Amino acid sequence: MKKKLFGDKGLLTPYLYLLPHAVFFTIFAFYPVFKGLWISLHRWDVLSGEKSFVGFKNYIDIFLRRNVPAQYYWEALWNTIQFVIYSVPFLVGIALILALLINSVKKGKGFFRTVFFLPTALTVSVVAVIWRWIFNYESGLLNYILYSLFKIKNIPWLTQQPGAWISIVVTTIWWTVGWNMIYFIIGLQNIPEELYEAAKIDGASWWQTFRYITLPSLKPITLFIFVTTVIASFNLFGQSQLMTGGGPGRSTVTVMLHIYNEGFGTNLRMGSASAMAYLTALIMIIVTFIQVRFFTRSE
Amino acid sequence: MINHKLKKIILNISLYVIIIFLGIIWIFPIYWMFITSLKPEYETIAWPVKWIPYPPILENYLKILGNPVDTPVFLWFKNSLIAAFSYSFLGLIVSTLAAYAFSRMKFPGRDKYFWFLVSFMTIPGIIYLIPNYLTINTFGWVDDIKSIIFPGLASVWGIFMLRQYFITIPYELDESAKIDGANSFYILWKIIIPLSKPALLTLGFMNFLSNWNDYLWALICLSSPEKRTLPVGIVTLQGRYIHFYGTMMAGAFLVSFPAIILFVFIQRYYIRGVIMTGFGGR
Repeated sequence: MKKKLFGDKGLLTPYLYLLPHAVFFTIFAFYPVFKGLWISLHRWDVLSGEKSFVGFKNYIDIFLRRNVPAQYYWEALWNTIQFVIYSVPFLVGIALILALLINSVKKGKGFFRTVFFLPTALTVSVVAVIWRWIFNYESGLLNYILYSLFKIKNIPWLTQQPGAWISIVVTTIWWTVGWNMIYFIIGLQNIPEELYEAAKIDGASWWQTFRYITLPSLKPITLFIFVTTVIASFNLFGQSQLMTGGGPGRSTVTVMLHIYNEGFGTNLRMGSASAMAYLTALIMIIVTFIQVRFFTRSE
Repeated sequence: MINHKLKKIILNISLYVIIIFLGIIWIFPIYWMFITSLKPEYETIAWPVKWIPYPPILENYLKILGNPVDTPVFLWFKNSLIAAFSYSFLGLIVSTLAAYAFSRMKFPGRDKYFWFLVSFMTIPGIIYLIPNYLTINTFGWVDDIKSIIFPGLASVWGIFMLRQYFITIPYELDESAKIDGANSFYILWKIIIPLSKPALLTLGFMNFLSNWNDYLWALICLSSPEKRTLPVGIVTLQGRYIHFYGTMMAGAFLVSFPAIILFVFIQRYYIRGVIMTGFGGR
């Protein structure tokens, strides 16, 4: 007997349910992976309208630092790595401290959780505008507080290093640490109560309980938080673009900002921008892989 | 014994002191934005600073709202609302249909296709900017709100989350409905969807807020002032009023106020979403 294709028991029915997503997925997620690779093998200038196949020339140019954008790419990559190093320990550490604090208070858990989670509801341009104002050189709030409390003269936060990095790191912590805090709170709540009771009976101190029960139980969620935070920090864009404009000099131009400038901002060279994007994606995947290996090896 | 109790009380109090202190620091930038927006410009830059403006003025808000040609805030608001609402609504439909097939139907290649989709979640988003922009360009969607709505529907995250939820709904419900002669769409509409309201609300809200706050993609796709969404509209404001802090803060407050209110009400759905999937949508 021939099986039906359509209708409720039809062979094709499940695929019809998948079809709407598959259409968008194919156009905007599957196809662009290959299209982007294809573009990266071209000289693809929007301004001159030139589109010619050049093979791996864009990649070779980047590696041999043959032109200015290629030289700037490595500089931007190094800037981005610096930001990852400066920001990730705080984004993870402060999140853990906040989660532990919220977990220990008896009243107002929900309220405090909302307070620290709230900034994540803001869009990056608003966050940048607020903190630009706070870090303002002449009349910013921070310089005012520093002057009235410690008689410290105005600091040009956004136009000098290390002030520029400090500003961006502080802003990023304020904006996104709530996410990590939520993950830690959930991780803490998942630790079985019996473990703590057993520790209490054994007369373990606060530190011992923390060191031998809390921390090991948080290991899986910490791996996840670490990996996602490194990726998020690698994607730094809005804060640099809107707060420091990549300056002073080019010291806060990140990879994202550089690729944006190369592809969309000033140069409109999509071929080389695409090559940089693929190279960056590869680096990110490798970094993620190393972290996962590092965390899981010692088990 | 008393000593021990006293120690506990002191510990408790210091705990609250620390968390309240940190809480004030965390809220202060938002307070500062609001307060600055209520000051006349000469007062925003005055030292010593005024912690509470007296009298508060609305001049800065009128300045922004009263200039619909250069800073059409209401248009940006409308654009943001249309984009975020359409995206979250269409996202729910697309993800629900797919998650339903993945969780309740048997068909060749189901698991392979599912993991194929999930594997795409590990691809860094950076490689999508240029090819997707060119696709949008081919469709004639540059500087059009469609560019903010449709590409995100390719996301796999919603399917992943809803599938996790759908498989917890007992299969007996489907079976008994099938005996009564219900077809698959009827089961989805009358059984699965009503029972999945919390998960659907979570996904809807998360999609809404992520679209509402999207910056980089909107910056690339929308160029003319009247087509912009709020996050990029703020940049227009910054270009115009960069040294007018009262006005800037009024703009920032107008943009963030709806998001803040919405967020206070829906954050528990966010947290539920994180618990449901084991990770949030970031």
